[in-house]
Amino acid sequence: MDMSQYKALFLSESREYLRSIAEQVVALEQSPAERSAVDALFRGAHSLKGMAASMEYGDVVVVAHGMEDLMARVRDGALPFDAGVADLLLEGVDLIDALLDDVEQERPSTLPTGDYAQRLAIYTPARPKASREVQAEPEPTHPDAAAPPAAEAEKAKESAGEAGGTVRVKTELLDHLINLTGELVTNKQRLLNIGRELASPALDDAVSETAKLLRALHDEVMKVRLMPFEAISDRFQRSVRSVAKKSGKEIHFELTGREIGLDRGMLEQLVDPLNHILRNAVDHGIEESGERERAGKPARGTVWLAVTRDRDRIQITVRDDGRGMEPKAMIEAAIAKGVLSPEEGELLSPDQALMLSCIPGFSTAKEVTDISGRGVGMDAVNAAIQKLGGTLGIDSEPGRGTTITLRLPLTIAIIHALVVQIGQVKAAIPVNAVQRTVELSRGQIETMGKRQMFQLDGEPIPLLSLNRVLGLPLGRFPDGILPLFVTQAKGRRVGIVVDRLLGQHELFVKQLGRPLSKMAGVAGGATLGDGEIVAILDLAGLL
Amino acid sequence: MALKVMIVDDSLFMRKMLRDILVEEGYEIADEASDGVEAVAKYKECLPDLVTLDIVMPNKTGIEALQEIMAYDAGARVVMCSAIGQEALTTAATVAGAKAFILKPFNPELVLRVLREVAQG
Repeated sequence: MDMSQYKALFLSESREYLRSIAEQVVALEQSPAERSAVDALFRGAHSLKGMAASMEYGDVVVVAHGMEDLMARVRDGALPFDAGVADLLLEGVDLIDALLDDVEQERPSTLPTGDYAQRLAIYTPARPKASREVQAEPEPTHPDAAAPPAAEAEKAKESAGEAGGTVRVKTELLDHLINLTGELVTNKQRLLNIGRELASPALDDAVSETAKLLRALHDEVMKVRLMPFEAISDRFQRSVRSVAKKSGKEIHFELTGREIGLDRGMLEQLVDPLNHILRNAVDHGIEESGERERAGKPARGTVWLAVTRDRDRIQITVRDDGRGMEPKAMIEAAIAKGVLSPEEGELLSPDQALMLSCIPGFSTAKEVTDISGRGVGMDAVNAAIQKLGGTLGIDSEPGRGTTITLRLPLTIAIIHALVVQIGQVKAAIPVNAVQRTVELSRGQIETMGKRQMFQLDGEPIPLLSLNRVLGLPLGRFPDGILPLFVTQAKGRRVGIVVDRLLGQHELFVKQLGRPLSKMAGVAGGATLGDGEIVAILDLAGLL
Repeated sequence: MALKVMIVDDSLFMRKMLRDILVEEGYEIADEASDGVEAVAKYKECLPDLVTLDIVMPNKTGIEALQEIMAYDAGARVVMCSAIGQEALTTAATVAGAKAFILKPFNPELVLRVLREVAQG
């Protein structure tokens, strides 16, 4: 159906609704108990939403839907109509008004509607009459379907609405779905264990079929949880602009892949790391325009942020055409700061040297600026990415610029991990952090200085004991074989010795509660198939 | 003979869209109403074959209007329409005698199919 013929009508009627909403808000501020005004406000937002949905103006739908939900809470007595509600509604009116202007002018909208909708959804008054209580009210006391009570209206909002093949659901429901799926995965492991004990082919068959179905269910649930990168990209535009302004540089910022879907849990946790990387690029990467011109570059620097997806991996790259990083200077600085010994420095390849920037307390910027020098550095960025089960890589060409590449899994809730035994406990390491496992005989260990090393692919790899790092009794290895896994730390490979390698498991990661969540080096917890609880180690935070 | 439909919706935009969909398909528009009170009054006047009735409206909701229309004409064929968020009212509408429920935004094919099914009983 050609909707363009309705555009003028849509605009004029929408503006009428906006005017009426603004009037009702003012009226309600005078007499907050006026039921008819509350209803009229709800209707206004509801109608706007319906019309905008017909025209497929998603931004207007998001804002109007948020306003409608807020007014439903007021109407159902879960929220008093106070100054906060009034402010939010008037803000919504302004936002939609601006969006309508964009529609009229046929220009793409850049207004951040997601943030507004979020604030509406979580709004609670100064003295809340907890809306949770309303939801928890027992429903069976209202069998009369003809008069839907508040609890049912709440339920209606939680349940989905179908519109043009798309469904709107509460995000908590998505979290709940992934939790249930995760618990099922844990239970599948349990069944696998039982199947092994019973040696029953029929059970094995059934479990393996269940495992396939679970995999499919997990994939579908993950798909539902995907949100376009766009949901967070506005802020990057803003922060690049403001850092450029502060540092007096001219920056051109290019963003591609804003439509790529990422797990919503991951999106939230990417904001800070990406902001930091971008700030670094502007602040430390891009040169002053004079310096650029002398080097034969355009006066204006460019920073690219690109999001791409390759099957079940997400890749985010931040590239700048600035001064780049000098591996030698990185090594010298690290030695000068005492985070690296000169002999260790000699062993580092140029690529490894660049990763030195991810060591806590390391910075090569000549001076600490208030923009990106203090507080979190690349070490925090690296730790955050590892926590998400991803990796961070740095590529740089002196004089040409730097590229930071983040490779991330599509999901963060269910991961594949290497489970190891250390002393009396088991621990899990996300497989992304594990480059390979090795069973080393004592004879292969070399001693260089105070360090124990072994050769892998012609490269000397230092050995560390996970037991020692965690303060557990050291392993004895009576058969002379040391099990270990190789990981990347401080820009180079390290062999981490454990008591036993117990194999790869599919784990459902759960956040730890306080005080455990405050512990460095622990990213979360998970339950193994036999019910045993394992800590998921965050190696970046541990080593 | 063309079936007569009455369109009830507080939004002119929605009425216009629905009218275009229906007229194109050969329906005759018996009348239009923009609130619940008007809907009941006009129903009694024009006695349409079918009614599309919005739920969220001023001066009597769609559900209230439906109850009055059904009380007046137990054979009325009323299809409820509403945007997402009001699904909880489908049960209420069905109990009150609605023949079907259409979600906005209107999908022309779906609207026509539902109306055809309701018209054929």
